[in-house]
Amino acid sequence: MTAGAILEVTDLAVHFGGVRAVDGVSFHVMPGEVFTIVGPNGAGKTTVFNLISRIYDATTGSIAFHGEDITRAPAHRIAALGIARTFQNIELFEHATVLQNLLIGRHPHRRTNLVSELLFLPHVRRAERAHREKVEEVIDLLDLQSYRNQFIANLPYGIRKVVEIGRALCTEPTLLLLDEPSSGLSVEETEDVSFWIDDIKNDLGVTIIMVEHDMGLVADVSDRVMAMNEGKLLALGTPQEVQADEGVQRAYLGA
Amino acid sequence: MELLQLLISGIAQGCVYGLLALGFVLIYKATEQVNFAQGDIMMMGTFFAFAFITGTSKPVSWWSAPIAILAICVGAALFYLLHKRRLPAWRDTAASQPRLQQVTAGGAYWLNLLAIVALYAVAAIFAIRFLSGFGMSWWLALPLAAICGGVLGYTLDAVIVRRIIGQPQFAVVILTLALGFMMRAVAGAIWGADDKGFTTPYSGDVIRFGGGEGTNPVVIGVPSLVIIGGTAVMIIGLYLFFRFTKIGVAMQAASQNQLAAYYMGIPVKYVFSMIWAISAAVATVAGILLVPKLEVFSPEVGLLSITAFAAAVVGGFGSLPGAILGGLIIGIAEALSTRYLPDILIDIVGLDGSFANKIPQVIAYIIMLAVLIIRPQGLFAQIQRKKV
Amino acid sequence: MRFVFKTTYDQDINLLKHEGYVRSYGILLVLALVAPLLLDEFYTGELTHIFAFAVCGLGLMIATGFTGLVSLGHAAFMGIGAYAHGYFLKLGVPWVFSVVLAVMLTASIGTLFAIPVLRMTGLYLAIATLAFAIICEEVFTGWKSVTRGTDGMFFEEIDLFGWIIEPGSLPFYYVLLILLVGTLLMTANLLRTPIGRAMIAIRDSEISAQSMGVNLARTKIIVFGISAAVTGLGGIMLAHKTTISAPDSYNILQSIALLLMIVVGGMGSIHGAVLGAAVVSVLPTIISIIKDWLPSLQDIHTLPTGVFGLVLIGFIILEPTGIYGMWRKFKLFVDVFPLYRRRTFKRQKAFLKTERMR
Repeated sequence: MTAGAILEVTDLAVHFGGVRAVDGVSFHVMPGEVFTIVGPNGAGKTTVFNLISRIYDATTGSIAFHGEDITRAPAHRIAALGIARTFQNIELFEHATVLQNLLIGRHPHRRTNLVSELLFLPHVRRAERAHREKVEEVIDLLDLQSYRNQFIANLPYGIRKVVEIGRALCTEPTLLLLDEPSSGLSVEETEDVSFWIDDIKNDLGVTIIMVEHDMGLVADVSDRVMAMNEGKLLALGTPQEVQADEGVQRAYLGA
Repeated sequence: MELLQLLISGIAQGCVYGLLALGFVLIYKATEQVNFAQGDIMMMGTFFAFAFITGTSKPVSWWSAPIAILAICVGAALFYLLHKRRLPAWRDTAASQPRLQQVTAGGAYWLNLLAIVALYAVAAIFAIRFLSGFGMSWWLALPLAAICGGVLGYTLDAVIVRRIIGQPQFAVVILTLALGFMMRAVAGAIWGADDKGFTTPYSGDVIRFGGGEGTNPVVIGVPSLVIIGGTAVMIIGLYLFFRFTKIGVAMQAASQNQLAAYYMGIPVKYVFSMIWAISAAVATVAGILLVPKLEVFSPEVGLLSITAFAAAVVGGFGSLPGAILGGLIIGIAEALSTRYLPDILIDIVGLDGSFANKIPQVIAYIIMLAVLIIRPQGLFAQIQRKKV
Repeated sequence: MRFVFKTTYDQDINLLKHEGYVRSYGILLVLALVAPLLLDEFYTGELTHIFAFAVCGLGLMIATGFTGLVSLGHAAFMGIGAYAHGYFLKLGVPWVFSVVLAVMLTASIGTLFAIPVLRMTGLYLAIATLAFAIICEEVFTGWKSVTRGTDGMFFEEIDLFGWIIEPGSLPFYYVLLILLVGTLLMTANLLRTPIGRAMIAIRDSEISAQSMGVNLARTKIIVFGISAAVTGLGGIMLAHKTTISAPDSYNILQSIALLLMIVVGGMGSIHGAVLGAAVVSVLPTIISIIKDWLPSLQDIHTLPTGVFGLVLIGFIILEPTGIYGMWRKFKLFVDVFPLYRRRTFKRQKAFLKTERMR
């Protein structure tokens, strides 16, 4: 155990049939840092995310969050524990408005029960107002005011990416997993993302793990970088150290 | 020896379920659509065979003329839609541009129109003959009906089902259910809702063996044996088709990864429609083989497909051998439970007689629910989970 | 076009979001209240039929339209509700308690069925519900000591604590109207609270709903229970309206009619369930009018089935958002009059959306 680590991954491995998608990876993330996972396609980066958010079952190894073992926790508990995530290909609720999407992010904080909701008792209304206030904070942070009542299906790709980050923030996480936040974005939008990551880290005090290909963004915001290839850990250190690592260069250049 | 008879009969029935289930699975594997109209396609195919076989005993009723005209209009609409939508979508647009222009260019346009008119004339004659019957031999009617069934399947996909690709799965479920209703209504309107039948070269034939003094001989209906044999032949044929023909391999490719297949130049839409055609033809043959066993059929025979579903689910809805095996399991279970289960339920469990007699009718669904609960993926399944 | 200046969050939370809503729904309610006084008995009867169907459709809408759990066997729950209610009445349970008990029984059967079945994904669920409905139909036919088999169970008057209400009478209309409005309000409440949002989340993306902390299995089971309960209530209402409950009112065709209802009305909207119920109730009447015009169609018994199928296909292909979607488009057209563009509602053509893991 590394003292004070928010997330501690030990010897994590997952096999699909004969494929070792993640093969014995260990790392830890300290509170308040931006930890980036890089690597060529198929290196197992997103699989690590899916293991942390419990979409996949780990074959061996363990994941501890705030010292609590979550390797076998049910997937829906993860959000309540304080881990939120975004997806590589955007998994928003397309037939709902931005506001509704963000409100779904409040689900881990649901305190009302079914019967009171059916009758819409006064305390349900109060809870709804409180949820809405939290959501408005996120809207202000990410400048989404003008999109509140638009359907996701009508929004451009870049805005959807931001809404997805917003939805994750609405769960009030202590650990945020961002899966390729800049993929498909223009240069300006990528710069915005880099500012927001700083804001989220500094203002909200949220720890961030991110998978990213854009080396500029990685060098800008990351405190530490982990490089993976073929399910194995290649290098771990500051962005400069990892970029200078011979094994990493070999993996990217295929030499 | 009664057991042997029951087994043969159950296996034959199971083969029919299996063939229908095969159709479901073929379409599902390729397009992830579930064709709830499969049974009704089988029913239509069987009625085609009925129309080919029966003679001109039924006079041409006066309203066959408006129906023929309707058929022509529908045909025209279909042809228009097919022509309009097909060309650019097949291969990459750059290559198809010149062809598209050719079709719309002056001379070819009139030629096309002429071809269309000729086609409808044939269709009209066909439609009128259809209502009165052809009086063909069974041997000729079987392949002809199978081809007609195939054309029906192809058209359904090309004209209707293809249009809602990309919509959620339930849209396809509801659409195919509705198509099934339409076909049942059409068959009922043309041929009437009462029971029909046609004779085959082997109808009513039986094989007897065994049985001396005191014991009954084993009596096995030839229709059951023909079903079993026919199923075996069709399975081998399909295997060879998928394994060795170009289009068969293209179908496998398109089933595994549409987009990649499309980029490799496989005309995915056409391939999918062909898969519909094949499963419709297989269902038609299954239906025709079933008739001498059941002796009668009606527009309601399509409801058989719900039982065939159970078979497909038991088999795992993604595995072709699984579909046949699931069909056999269901068929045998039905045959045995109809004979033995009510007695057991009445004598041992003490159920009410009228209730106990109902159970064998739903045994297929009970088996299916049990399989779904124990192994939600079916007995022979592939992994299903969305990738993020 | 209306511009609403929002000053409190309550304006988004309220059911009636601005005075326009108050006006239009107010008029609708008044119309519903005075309708039986103005219309003759036949049309009042048709209206009660629509109310009963609307509640059934609402039940299916909760499962299929809002949560994406396709059920091909919801008529079974109508039957369970109606038979249970009839059975309790026969035991001498007062009417109100009998309805409550029957609805609760339907909910628990729905929940029990859902617990093993909802682990399955879309397609398997649809098939399992189909099988469930077929088995239920056989049980309704076979369990004669309770259901009286094919003879059917008769529902006479409603005994509301000594107040006898005859079917077809004025108070009967209002009882059904109250039940409908109550169900509508509860469904609307459901949709503006966390569970409703969780339902929509499950429909649109299970995997991200899960990551947002939605307990998939539990939510689906609860939703299926609610859906069964509402459909059961609809079944009770329909049984009272038609005064009889027989197994063939709960066959596959009825389940399909329920699906037709929500597709034609408009998937994923409360309005859709009511509009769809109106269409499905009126369709047989229209068919019989057509038959009067064209006597040659008289002997085609499959005509209703065919018309059902045709309407369903037409809507799925041409207007998947149903009548309510058409209405919304029309409203937008009027609101923004010269600026309306057809592309506003154009769907993005997707290559096949796969659920399979490659």
